[in-house]
Amino acid sequence: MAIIVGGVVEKDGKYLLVQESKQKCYGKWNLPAGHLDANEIISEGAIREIKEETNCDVELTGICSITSQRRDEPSVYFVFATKLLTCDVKPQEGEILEAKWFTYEEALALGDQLRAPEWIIHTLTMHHDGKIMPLDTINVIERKL
Amino acid sequence: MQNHIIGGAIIERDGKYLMVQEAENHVDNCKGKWGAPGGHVDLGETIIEGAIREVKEETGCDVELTKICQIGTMGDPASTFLVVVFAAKIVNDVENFTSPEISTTRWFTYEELCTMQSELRSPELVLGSIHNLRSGITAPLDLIKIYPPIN
Repeated sequence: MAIIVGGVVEKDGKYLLVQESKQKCYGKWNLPAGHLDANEIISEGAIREIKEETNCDVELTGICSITSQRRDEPSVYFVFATKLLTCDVKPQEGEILEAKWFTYEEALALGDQLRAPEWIIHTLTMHHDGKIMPLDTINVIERKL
Repeated sequence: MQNHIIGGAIIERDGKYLMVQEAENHVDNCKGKWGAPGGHVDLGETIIEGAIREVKEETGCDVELTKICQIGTMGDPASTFLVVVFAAKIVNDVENFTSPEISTTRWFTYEELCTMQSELRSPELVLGSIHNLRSGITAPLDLIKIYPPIN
């Protein structure tokens, strides 16, 4: 089952997207995001994925989107709004071809070059329009057994 | 590594909440314990569809989801459980329901549930979700956006 966690990383009105090097989505642009690890809580997972893929340190400031798709396995995606703490961008070796800043309009114009256009555009639009939900919108229990 | 996505529901009527009693032991020795109806989301389902189906399987009732009460993640070294607890209202009731997985269903007040924590399968999740619902600490259902199939 796919529990995907990631973040919208924004600086001076531009959004940081990463270009995939995996064969099945080679060259596609994506939000920094990935699978939640075992024994990891969603907030930790989002911060880790952003660090791994872009080398940026962030703190989470809100929720941009939660989505669930009908696909080949059950899936829930969490994307957080973030605040940049350090910003020495380095794409992850072997996983990410490039990490690059796009304006909202430029990101939308990528269209089919986005890995999951509907999800990415929905998420960026929520952020761009200021529709960011507070982290405690819902009382999230995060507990290790 | 195995992750699990669980959808469940807090169903309230006349100040009482519908609970199901587990008929079988799962990984957590839960036979005889009470909990909110819910379970694993199946292949090809969204979290919302999965929660509605699990409620039907465990209580016989058709429900409509109305709000999100709580999202929880619980992990152990081998896996993570993501649980989304919805508030739901019954649209088609069934009395005296039984199924292979559930020995019985019953309505409890919040106060009753608070006194039976050791009999609850996940007391923190069940009581926390009901507390949120009673206190209005909920999120609208459309916080979760659903996408159509990707083929």
